[in-house]
Amino acid sequence: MPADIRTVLQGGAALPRRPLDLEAATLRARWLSWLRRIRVTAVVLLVCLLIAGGVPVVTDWLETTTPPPAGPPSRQGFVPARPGQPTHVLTDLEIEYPYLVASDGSGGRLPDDDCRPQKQECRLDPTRAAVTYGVAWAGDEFPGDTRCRITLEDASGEEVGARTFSLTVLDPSLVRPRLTETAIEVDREPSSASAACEAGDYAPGPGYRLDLMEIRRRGPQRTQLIFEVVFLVPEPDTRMCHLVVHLDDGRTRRFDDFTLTTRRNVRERFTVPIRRRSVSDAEVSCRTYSLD
Amino acid sequence: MRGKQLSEDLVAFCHEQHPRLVGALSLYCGDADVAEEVAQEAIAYAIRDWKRVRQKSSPSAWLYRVALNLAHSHYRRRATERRAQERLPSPPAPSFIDDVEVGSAVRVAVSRLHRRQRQALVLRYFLDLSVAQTADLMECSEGTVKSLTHQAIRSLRRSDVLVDLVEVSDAR
Repeated sequence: MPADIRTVLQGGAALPRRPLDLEAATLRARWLSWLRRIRVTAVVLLVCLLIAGGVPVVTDWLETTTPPPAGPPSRQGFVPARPGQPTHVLTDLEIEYPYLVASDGSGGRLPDDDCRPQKQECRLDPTRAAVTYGVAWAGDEFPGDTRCRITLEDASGEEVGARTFSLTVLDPSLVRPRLTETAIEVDREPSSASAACEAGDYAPGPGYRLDLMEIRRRGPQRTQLIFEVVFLVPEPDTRMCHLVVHLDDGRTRRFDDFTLTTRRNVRERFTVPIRRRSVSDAEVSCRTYSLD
Repeated sequence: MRGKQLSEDLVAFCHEQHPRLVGALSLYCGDADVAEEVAQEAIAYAIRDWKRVRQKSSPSAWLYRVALNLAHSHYRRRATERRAQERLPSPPAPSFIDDVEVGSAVRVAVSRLHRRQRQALVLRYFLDLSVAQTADLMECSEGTVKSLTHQAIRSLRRSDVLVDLVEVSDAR
């Protein structure tokens, strides 16, 4: 005899073997209620913590994205390069104190005939010191852009001023008398200076790709080649490049190596002493910077 | 749920729903012990949220939904435990079907249905909800409910114990 699904299910369903324990259910309900409150409190606390933690994060982000103030930069996050790492080395540090400010605003270590305080043509600024230094590569390798820090100390060895700055020098050894100079704010007269640079992060490889955009006639004997620069790594820094022009007759002309340090998506223009109608194509190849 | 004494309507609701809930869950889970455990937990949720639940148009539908969700969570935990045990070198733990109480062939047959088919079948034909109520509770269309119940009954017919099963009209 055919069975109705409802009847079948009623027959198959189990009956409670124990009566409903309302007391246990109530206790469980209280526990669930507490559990929910704890969860809600935890979520609120977590959100508060995230908001509180988010403020410094945003502040840090703003600090990294906005230009640094004119004052001495912070020491925070500065990690000097370890021995053997490619970096710049600051040499022959010399201090000039107080800082000499010329009437035109320039200053520092000025030639004597340019600055004569007794003649009121320049004045002394005791809040700053001029530091001159030479630069060398730590090894044979171009280190790329590095951050360096000069620290000035008084006679007791206490820091009186410091400055952190970016440095890229293509010459492996830029020594005296071609000194570089910087002004550093100080609390009092410094007596010694020390310097350190962070490791460079110069990426290997060509760094840039230059896509030929246009070939233009620039007079009867000259042609302008316009390339668009594409970054192959986030910050390629300086690269050694050369230009090759392909002529109509199948020959090529290679031009001298040049260094390239440029911004993303800019256009680089080269003018070559070749007739426009002779040029069929051109290319620029880049490699890591070297002295070879 | 701050007062120590439960309101009369809540007590009446719990006592009225408890046997239905255990029956429905025993069909859905295929295990009378699990059904009682989950029913007790669902009742606890109802006690906790009674102020809000009593305002609903159908407190019992809310309770069934909670109970089915709890049963489903129970399944998931069991499945996870089973998978973990299967990775161990010891003999695998008995599957859900093996755990089913041997006493009821109907529960065994129902428990072998797909989860959604089981839900639709139990809600429609055991708890006697309308197609619309079932669809609302399962968060699907009425057509899907009809289709699921039809498939469920067809599957049950294939089992030895339920060959004579007839489908009732889905008119309501």
